[in-house]
Amino acid sequence: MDLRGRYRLMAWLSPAFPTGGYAYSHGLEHAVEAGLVHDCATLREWITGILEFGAGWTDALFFCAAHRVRPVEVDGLADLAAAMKGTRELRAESLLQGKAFSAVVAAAWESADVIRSPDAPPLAHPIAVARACRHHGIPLAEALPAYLQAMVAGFVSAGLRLVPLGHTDGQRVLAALEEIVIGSAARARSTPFAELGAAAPMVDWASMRHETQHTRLFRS
Amino acid sequence: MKGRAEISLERISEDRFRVDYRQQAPLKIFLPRIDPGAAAEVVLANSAGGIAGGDHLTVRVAMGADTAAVVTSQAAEKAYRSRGPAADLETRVTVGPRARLAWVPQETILFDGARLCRRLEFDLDGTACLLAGEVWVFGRIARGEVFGRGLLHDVWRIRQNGRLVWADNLRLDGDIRRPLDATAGFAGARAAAVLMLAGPDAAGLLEPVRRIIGRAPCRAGATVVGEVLVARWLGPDPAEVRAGYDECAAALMQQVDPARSGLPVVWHV
Repeated sequence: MDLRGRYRLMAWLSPAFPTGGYAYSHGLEHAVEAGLVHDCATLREWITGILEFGAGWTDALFFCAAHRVRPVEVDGLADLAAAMKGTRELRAESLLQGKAFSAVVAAAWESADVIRSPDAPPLAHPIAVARACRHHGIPLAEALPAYLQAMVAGFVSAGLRLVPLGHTDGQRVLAALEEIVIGSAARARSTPFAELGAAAPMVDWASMRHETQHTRLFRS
Repeated sequence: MKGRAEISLERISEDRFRVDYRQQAPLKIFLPRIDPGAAAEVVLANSAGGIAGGDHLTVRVAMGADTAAVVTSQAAEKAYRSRGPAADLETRVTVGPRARLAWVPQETILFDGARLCRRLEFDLDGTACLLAGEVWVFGRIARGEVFGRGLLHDVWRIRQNGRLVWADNLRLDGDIRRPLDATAGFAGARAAAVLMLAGPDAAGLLEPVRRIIGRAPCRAGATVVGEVLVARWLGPDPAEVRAGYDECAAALMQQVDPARSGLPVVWHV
């Protein structure tokens, strides 16, 4: 990957990129409320579970597929990714960020191919990012670990506010997840899409309970 | 073994359906109740007593316009340990205009080492109603066994007027104790259940369902996503998961068959 590709990847996955990612906790807000996540170790364990068994894993497989398929196959993939989000808030989290990402990348970075017709549901976030990466020649081997790192960094950032934890503790969690992110990205690239599947019903449970949680900082 | 069950329902008068079916062992079909004015009760049985590796079982259900049925299973299904190939279960269901279907089999118990791939596809008319549920038990818990090795790949697709509105892929393979015990996985649960209601009135039932699951003796939650009402239960005790699930299934059964209240008769045998 040349420096331009790396520059774009860093821009698109930066917390400063306007997808509104800071507003979503992916159920973590309820996991904290329920006492399941209360310190560095339990935050690391929760995020590890998402990476290995939850949306971290399925989004990685969607990312790989979206990076590989021909344009005509993107719609089918996008419909499946949207339908597979198990709760109202998790679906909104992925589709609203995907929609915002697509619009901004198309407007500022010349990537018209991430825009869908107005009557089609928007691209889920991993699909939108993967298509933009492909369009700009950013290889999957570089794009996917960066995508998962950004996802994990978002969860850690939410954890800092919710648990709460100090910034150094947050970086300790991020550092501890490095091998898992890299390993998960490598495994996703060699896993057939037919083996797509999750095993994280606790995230769905937390997200369902979050819908009726009294005090909420986050939209998911 | 290759088993097959095919069922089709058609409305033939104001208060009667015609039910046609074909069966190939080990799958069997019983029709314990076809009362005028009520939903037909269809019971699927596996005369082999359980699912073994290499089995290929196919179920087809076609619900004509204005029909109503409750499809369940005769007993808890057992998936035995397999040293070789996975069992392959495939179900396709079409639900026509204004037809109503409850797809509520009893629980499936996965023995340690079981290998099971299952695919369920429901194609609904936009005016049809589907209540579909599922209970998994991860091992013969009472004897201390856990489904720690093997394969479960369970695929659900629900379409309304051809549009995919709900999809779920559950996959457990390799060292299955890890997802079963991970906090974001199953958090130590040994049983899990899901219940879905799709149809014109589904979204409006979220609040009543939340009140019911608030009484569940295990972890439970509900949401409406893509106009489909989805509720989940999970916990270490299969009986508690089943109790929570049963109460909600019984209440929602009225969406399919207003003439009755409660669960299929065979559940209590």
